[in-house]
Amino acid sequence: MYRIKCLVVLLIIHGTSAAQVDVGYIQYLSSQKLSTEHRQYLAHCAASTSPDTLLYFQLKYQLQYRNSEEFHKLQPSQSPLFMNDSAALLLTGLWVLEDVYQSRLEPSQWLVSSRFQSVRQLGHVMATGMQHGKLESMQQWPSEMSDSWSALQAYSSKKPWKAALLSTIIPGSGKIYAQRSRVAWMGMIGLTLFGAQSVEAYRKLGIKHPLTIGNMAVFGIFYGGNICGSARTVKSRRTELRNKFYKDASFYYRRLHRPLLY
Amino acid sequence: MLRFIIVVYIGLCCIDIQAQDWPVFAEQMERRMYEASDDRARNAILLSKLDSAFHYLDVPSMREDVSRDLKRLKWDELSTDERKRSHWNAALWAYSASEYNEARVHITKYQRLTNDTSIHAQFLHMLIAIESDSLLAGKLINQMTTKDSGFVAMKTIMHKRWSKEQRAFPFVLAGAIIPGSGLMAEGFVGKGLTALMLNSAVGLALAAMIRANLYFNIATWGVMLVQKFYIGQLNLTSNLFRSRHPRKLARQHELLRQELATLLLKYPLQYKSI
Repeated sequence: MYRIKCLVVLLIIHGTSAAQVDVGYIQYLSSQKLSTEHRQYLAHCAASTSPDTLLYFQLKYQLQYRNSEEFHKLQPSQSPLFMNDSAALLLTGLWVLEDVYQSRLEPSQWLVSSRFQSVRQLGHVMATGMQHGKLESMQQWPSEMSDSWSALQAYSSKKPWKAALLSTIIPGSGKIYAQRSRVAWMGMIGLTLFGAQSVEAYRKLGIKHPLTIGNMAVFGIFYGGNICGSARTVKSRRTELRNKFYKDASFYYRRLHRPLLY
Repeated sequence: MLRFIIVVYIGLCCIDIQAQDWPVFAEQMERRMYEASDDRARNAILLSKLDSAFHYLDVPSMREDVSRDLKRLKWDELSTDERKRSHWNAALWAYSASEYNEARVHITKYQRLTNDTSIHAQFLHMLIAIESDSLLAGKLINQMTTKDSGFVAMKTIMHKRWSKEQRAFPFVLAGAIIPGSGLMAEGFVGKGLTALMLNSAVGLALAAMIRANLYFNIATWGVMLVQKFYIGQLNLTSNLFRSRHPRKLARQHELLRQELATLLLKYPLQYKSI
């Protein structure tokens, strides 16, 4: 009877261990960047592993290979294991910061309200960059991020409509306001030339001459384009500065925490 | 198309095609590598994984895996025979995966190791060179013609193909002297006449502006219109030369394909097994 009991216990132990995911092996697959084999191993484990464990490793897999669509489909907030893994959350935060404009990842609420301070910091960085209103009332950032932060903060007061208005009054000045001096000077020279040719044609050929009308039309198109371009430049420059801030932040926090996936 | 035929041919030549899915097989091999006791054993398993991978048909998803495994392989730890075999297989694989530079590296290493002057080795070297180094390809085709007259037809086709690339210049030059003439000489008479008329109109308009002393207008319109119509017709001459030739090139490609199919039947390229 005792022997049978032992056998049953052994069988249970063996059965449980066979059903478990081999973390060491996953670590090996991950470090060697063997994505096909890694995916296959997880698929192989699907039948014999608990759903939460499997979800956890699947999320980490998608996180490593930065597959944002699959990652979101798996719903990370539904995995308690994942939500309690500070390194994985930190890496997710860094990924969100680095790829925010490429992969259109939204700042997730679970990142901002994480119980880990390091993760919350990343959520905070991201939310700050997204909300223009908060820029003026910000606290100090580490020195590695302060330059790009100052640039973003200084730029936050610039408004697209102001650039458009300036370009309407003095063509090119809106782009100088948007900190694009070279483009501004080129636009200014171009518009001056178009204006000069229109005036010249008007003086020598009269207002009704087709060349004068054509010249004025060209001038009008370029003038209007310059106004719209100035407004757009402010927006694109702001995005550029925000991305720079995010990049510096991700670099800083990656160096600070040195998170490892496994 | 050519590559496709070669790939299919290579695939058909392989008797040892695995019935298993590639991911399953790859994962099993990695498991064995993970459990292996030392680096030498791991390298041996990796080599065996690669040897088997070469015998799979061309699956796009496994291309990256094989390229990655080729980089992981410790070549110094392989025996000379293994290196010879692996360089040959890697060259053939890289060629079929369109990674011609990689293929060139492996075939060069293979040639250095074996000094293989067989027609099969030269044939593969030639196929790779056609895609990566036309000078070397020409040299190799010349060598091949001395061994087998079957390569003479290929030599003719390739010479025609390469010489075509240099012939756009006279048409562009003609277009530069008389706008539209290059296009007309290429056979695009309608487009050539249009270009000639437009450029003449631009010329006349600029002349009229000069007569009317419209200097700003000459500068701005001159720059815009000359760039649009004069430079534009030169670019069109060059672009149409290339786009017109795909039909001719396609015909040559078809001839080349037929020639290669015949040659591949005669000299099949196969992965080397253990």
